[in-house]
Amino acid sequence: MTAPDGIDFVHTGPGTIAGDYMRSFWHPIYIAADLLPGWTRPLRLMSEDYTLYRGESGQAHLIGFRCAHRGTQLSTGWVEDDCVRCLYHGWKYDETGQCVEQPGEAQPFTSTVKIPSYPVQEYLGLIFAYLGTGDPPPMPRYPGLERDGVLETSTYTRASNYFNNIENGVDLYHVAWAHRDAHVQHSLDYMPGAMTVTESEWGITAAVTLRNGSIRTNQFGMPNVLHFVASQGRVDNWSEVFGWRIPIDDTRHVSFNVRWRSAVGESGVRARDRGWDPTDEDPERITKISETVLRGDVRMRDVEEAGILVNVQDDVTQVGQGIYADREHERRGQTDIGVVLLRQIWERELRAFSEGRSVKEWTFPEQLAATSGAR
Amino acid sequence: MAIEAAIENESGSAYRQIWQTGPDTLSGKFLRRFWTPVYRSEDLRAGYTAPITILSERFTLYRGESGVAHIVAFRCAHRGTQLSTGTVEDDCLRCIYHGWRYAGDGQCVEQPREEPGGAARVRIPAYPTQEYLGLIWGFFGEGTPPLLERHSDFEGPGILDLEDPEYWPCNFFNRIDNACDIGHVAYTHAEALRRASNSPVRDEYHAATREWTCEESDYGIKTTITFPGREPEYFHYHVPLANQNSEAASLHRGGVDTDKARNRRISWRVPVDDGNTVSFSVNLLQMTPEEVDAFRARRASSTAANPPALADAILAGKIRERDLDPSVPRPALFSVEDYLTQVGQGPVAMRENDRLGKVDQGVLLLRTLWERELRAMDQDRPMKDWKPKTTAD
Repeated sequence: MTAPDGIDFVHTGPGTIAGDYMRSFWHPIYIAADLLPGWTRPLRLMSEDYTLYRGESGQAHLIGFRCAHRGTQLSTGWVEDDCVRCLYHGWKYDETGQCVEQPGEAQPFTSTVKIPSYPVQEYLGLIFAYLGTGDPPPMPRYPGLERDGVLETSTYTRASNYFNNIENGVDLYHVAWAHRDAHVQHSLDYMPGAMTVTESEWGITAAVTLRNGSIRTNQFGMPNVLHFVASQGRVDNWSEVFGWRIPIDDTRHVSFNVRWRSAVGESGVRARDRGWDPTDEDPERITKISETVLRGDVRMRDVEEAGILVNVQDDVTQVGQGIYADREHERRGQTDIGVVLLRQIWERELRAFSEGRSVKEWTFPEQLAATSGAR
Repeated sequence: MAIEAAIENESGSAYRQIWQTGPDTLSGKFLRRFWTPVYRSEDLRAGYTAPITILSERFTLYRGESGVAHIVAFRCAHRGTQLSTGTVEDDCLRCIYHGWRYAGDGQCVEQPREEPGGAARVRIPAYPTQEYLGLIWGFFGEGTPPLLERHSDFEGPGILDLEDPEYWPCNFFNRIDNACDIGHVAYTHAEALRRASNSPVRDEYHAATREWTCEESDYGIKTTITFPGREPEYFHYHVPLANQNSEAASLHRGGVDTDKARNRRISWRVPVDDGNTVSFSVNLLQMTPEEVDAFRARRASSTAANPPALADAILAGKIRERDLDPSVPRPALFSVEDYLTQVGQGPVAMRENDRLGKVDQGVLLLRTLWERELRAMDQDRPMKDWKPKTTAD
């Protein structure tokens, strides 16, 4: 579960090194459109529970999971203005977690009661939160996604530790095999030894030269963002994808994905006209099919769900590693240079972080190209 | 199933012991000094067995062909298979594996194909049982059991009505904490009361939130709520596990009928294990047969609405209570609401984090009483001799 020298990047509960490090970044926690004003949601992130809600003003807020009074689950209460009122005895909290009402008390002691609250911002159709201590860092911006275009959001939950998925993002070579039956077959044409990985200002740039001479480039952003270009094998049908992998607890994680398409050109117009139907990538269906493959009821090659095949393949390979990939007994080769570099960077950063030394400030520069390799 | 995580979180707390139910825990030993209801009588026919878990231990319950109920150990002494899979013969139980046969007192009386005389040396634990108020009771403590506590409120004229046992995934103390807590009604049950649009009950309870008292009594805790212009309502907590609501009807009918109640209700919140509780509720209905039929039809429709499933969906954030279909019966809503707050506290409420106020006087009294008794028991000092509640109390 840990790197050979003992740095643990898979456990992210409160008080763990990786957990504290992860909490020093902003993370998307929910799809903005799925949270209506007046609604609450119980959320679990990095083994801690939270109450997410959208006030009647339209602002989203994130506060502690339990009422301070007798500890019942706050998401079952009522949203009033931008406050939440507990279902049990009506204690009311504002968006800072400050208790502002205790209706049963003749002599209220609200000023002494405060539950945790967390900064929240909405961006790219996602609700981002900062779950760490102290002042949050600046919210990262991605200018490419702010251009005119069609922005689609989606999410899925996967029954494995988040690090399985993070490693998958810097592992370009898996595309050739894990996705061999999908519509990305062109990626099969990898030249042996033609892969390079380098540390970037944002994280890792992984590139591979295909037999057709073109280059496929994935960008990985520390600590948990994957950016790539999907082309469906055609130059005129491409989209830019960003995916954030956030632990729910140590055994499950959630991914929030943003897909940007140009609103011009043939495919752009098609995408715009078609609109975005999140059921295109029905996450429960992906999980269900993946489970049947992992159980041995069907074979991977017999899965014919073209729309979600890539997702099923990723789910099968990553969950198939076990909840925690067994990193002590793996046999790494030349194709794993991305995974090796990723772990080196994580170990370096976690060690610096745990020893109180300065960690690298990761930035997403104006120019950081991902390419699909399609021609 | 023990809740290990909660124990860690509560280490060092005075509240650490009160929710534990296993045989080696302080609270578990306290509970074992009393008779405990374990099953609804009508659910166990002569010749049938049931595997049961009570107070974090597993047992075999069966009813002999004579009609007498027996509780013996969960496993056969021979090679440990589950005895409930065996056969009832007379008032004995024969193991399915190799046919060892046990009497109701746990004595092995037959070992087919073994040398005679061996059976006499084998005995499995057995526990005293009684049937009362439509329930089978067991005694799991040491020594001679005390007299079974009688409930005169439920022995009068009327129809004794047994509700379906209700299993909730939370500790029993989440449930009994709620019983001495009048402050929750106006909020927890706001939606159910709102839907009874002609109901003055919510307003009354709002007003009464600060107008109630609770005091220790001979049987436990008596809570009195005073309402302007009508008779007070009483809630009774019987040590160790029972909640009695003398006017349950005024609440559970959603206040549509605020006449003096014509039924009495008592519920025992029995620990299955540390994270699960079963409730056995008994009503004494003082109604006409037609009213009884209507009462039972309402309850059947509430059960059919499956309150725990609705509440689980709300706890998971998939739906909101206010969006539930208007056809969901009001008693089901009450049940959903109690489940939300009690199961919503987690399998074991984290009492050391509580911020108690005046509204929690009942909760505080309950916990103080339990801690006092547990401490006395632990230090071999005299404990209170609890008396049954009389109808006058």
